[in-house]
Amino acid sequence: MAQQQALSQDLEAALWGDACLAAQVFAHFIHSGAYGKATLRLKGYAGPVRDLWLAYLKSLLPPETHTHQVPVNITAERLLGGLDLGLTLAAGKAVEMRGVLTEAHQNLLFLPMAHLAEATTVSLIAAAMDSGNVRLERDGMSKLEDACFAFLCFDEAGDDDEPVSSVLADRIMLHVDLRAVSLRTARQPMQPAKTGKVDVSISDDMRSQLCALAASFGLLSMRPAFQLIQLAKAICALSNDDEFTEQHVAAAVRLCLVHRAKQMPPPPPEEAENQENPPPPEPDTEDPPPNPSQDTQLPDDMECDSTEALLPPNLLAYLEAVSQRQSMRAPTGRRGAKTLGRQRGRPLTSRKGVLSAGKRLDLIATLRAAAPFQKSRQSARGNTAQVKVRKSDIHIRRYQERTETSTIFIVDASGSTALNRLGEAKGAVEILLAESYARRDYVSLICFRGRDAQVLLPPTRALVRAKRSLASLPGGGGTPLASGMRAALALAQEERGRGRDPALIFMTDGSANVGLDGAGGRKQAAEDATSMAKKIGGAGLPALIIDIARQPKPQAKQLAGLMAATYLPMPFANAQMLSKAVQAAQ
Amino acid sequence: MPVRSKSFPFVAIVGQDALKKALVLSVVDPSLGGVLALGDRGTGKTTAVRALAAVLPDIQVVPGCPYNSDPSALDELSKECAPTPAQKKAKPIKVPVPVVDLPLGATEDRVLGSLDIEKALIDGEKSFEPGLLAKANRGYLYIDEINLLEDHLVDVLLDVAASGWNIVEREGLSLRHPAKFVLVGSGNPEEGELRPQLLDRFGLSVDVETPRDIAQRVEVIKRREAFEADPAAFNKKWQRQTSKLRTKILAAKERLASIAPDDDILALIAQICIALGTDGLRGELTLIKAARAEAAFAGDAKIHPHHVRAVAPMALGHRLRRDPLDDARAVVRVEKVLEDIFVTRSVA
Repeated sequence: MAQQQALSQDLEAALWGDACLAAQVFAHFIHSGAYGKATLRLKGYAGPVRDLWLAYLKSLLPPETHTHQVPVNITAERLLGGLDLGLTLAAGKAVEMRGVLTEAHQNLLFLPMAHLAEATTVSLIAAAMDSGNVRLERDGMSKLEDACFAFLCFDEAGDDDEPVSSVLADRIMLHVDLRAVSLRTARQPMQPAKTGKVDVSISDDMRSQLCALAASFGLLSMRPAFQLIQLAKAICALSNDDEFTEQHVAAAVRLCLVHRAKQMPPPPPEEAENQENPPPPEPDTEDPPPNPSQDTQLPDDMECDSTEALLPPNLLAYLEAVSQRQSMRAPTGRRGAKTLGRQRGRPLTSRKGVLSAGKRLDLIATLRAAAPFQKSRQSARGNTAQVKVRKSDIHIRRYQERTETSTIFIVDASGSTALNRLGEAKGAVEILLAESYARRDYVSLICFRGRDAQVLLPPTRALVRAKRSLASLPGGGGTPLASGMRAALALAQEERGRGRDPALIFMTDGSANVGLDGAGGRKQAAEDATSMAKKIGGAGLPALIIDIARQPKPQAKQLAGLMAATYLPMPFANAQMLSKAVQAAQ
Repeated sequence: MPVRSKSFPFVAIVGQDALKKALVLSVVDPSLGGVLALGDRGTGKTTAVRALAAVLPDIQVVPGCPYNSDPSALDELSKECAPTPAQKKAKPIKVPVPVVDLPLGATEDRVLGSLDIEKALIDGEKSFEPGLLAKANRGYLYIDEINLLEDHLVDVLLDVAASGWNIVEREGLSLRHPAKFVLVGSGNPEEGELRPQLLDRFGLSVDVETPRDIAQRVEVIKRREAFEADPAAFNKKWQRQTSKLRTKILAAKERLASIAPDDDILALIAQICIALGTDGLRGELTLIKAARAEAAFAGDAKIHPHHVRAVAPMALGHRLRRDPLDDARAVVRVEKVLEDIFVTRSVA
């Protein structure tokens, strides 16, 4: 126990050290005028540790640096700029309003709650980061403005949230994790900031090695590789060294790659056994373990298997634990859909139209349309008191009318469904998935087996992802039918909250032998299933029970009755029949 | 030819052969119907499209014309957009082929064009303020992240791209102006899938991937570093290859009209489309055009079966019906069908 305590302290110190180094690099780029390279994502929650770090960062930045904050619900108009409504009305001619992105030019753009930012916001920021400017084509204006800024974002995504958009993560060089750092560690004195040299040259050999390193973490985009090289150079410059050392590379890997790794480089075989029992801490975690060649250059054969040597002990184990929790909530592709405004009640841009019953006026857009004409209209009538709005100015709010359905499949993958039945069920689900996809519906998949139910596929439109998760659907074990129903109900309610119409498709034989608490016992299991069925029935969710027993028994039919669900016995999976039944159920 | 040093040279792009080929073919035959580049982040889609601009030969335009009108074909302009007599008399100027960006967040009025508010206020004159579609006339319109664009705007763009005309009926204006451009779109399918109807409207579609080979990846980075250090010098280094490509494209454009598919080729193309079950004639027509452009670019006088084979994946891959039980990527399926057909042919 005491050993574990000590271990975590070392890890904390290493993470905090990295965070401070990241701040120094960030400031170094700003001081040298390379604003676009200063990009940092900080994982961590609001609190004194984050405040301490932020204060440290601010102390390193040039005093004239302004921070331009992007609220999470910012509009495209405020980000890019456009027509200033108030001034335009007052002046009677078009007055421009600058956007946050151009205001942040040669300053700091700050996005708190980056994980909640909408796809449009993220894309607009990303476009400016890529090009260093903003191309404005709005409200009759057409111009190109500089927008080269340093970028800082806070990522507070918890285990149940969607991770920060990969569009952003891909473009950010420095990644820092403060979640495991305690206040005690953060209070320890920080290294004073250093001023670095301007440029460090890099050998071809080193460039190849860094490039291979980026790929070994599963980061296939070219940006991380490019960032790693620039970061390694910056770290080397900051330490006033002429040559790259392992420490420089190790630090660059930790800041740039580790926290967004898609995969971990395979550990060397002898250490793999030790993973359950981590080795005792080394006194100095910042120093990588001794390497046979202590040259300033890395050994030529520095391959994936020695990558672990670059990292502080336990970091990999820590990341594994974190990422396993997060991989349960893979991105669902919802971000894209959200922007397209396909969800019910989601506003689209308003358009000119005639105000009539059942339509809603978009006041701002209407005023904006009227704004440039105020002077001419007022001089015509001689009355300057009011805003003159004419019929032709009127803009109507538009909403996406189509209701989206979200089909939730709940599949019995237990031992009672013999293995070949599971195969048939998979086949049927695949066909249904394809049809749901063609109708642009959302599809999700819950399976129950063993002691609990699991959301294998969160609601998605991405067919590829659905197929992948289906292929990995395991079978065998007990039949926790009630847990499956509970998971389905929870997911259905979530979907309703998103403005979609959920429909439940159960594929089961209706027999249960594991209760809600995960304990075996047919009686309790059946009771739990009955009560869950009543709850689903009470929620008024459209449901379909497909009885996949070879000899249909009464249980499934009874459950269907309680759920007010359609009951469909299907001793032999017939895809066509299934598909028709599902459509009827929606 | 001056070196346009702002953008990364097209010929210096490492790998991305399918994307580069699709873009070149769209230059050789602009009527192919646009290029769609789908792929992950950081694969250099945007770089390639922007780089294309510098390869294209300059065009002659009426000076000051917002539609980049061709001095030799002024008749097609409507009254409102016709050049003034002074403009007509002025000596035509040479300008680079326009490559217009449709930035995210662009409003409809700026894309399609709208009433010129200043003129309406000051002169009381109803006059048309041309939008991005006018700017893109005779050039390229590039939309990054096309899957984030509003559906109705995409529909309008596809309509205009197909007809070559932007018809304006709004704000009391009623006019039409030429908007002949090649639509180039890019997107990442993981961030919102594209509608099948939209996919089908693009002539060519390519999947873009980052190079997996470490040596290639290193080369990408080295060239990017060299370019960023000194764009002008880097462009100069690649200038010879750029002009070579330009010459080859110009020759191909001239040769294009003289190449007609013979019956054997038409039968082959029909056979491929039937085997793949692509819906509609659009796929077949695109494959004919693409094969013709490929033959012209290769310097051949007629279309050979290997030209068809080379372009079939990009002309048809996005038109296949999705088969949920087949995990293979569309391009792989096309390749498989091609393999079968060509093996049978060589036996017969």
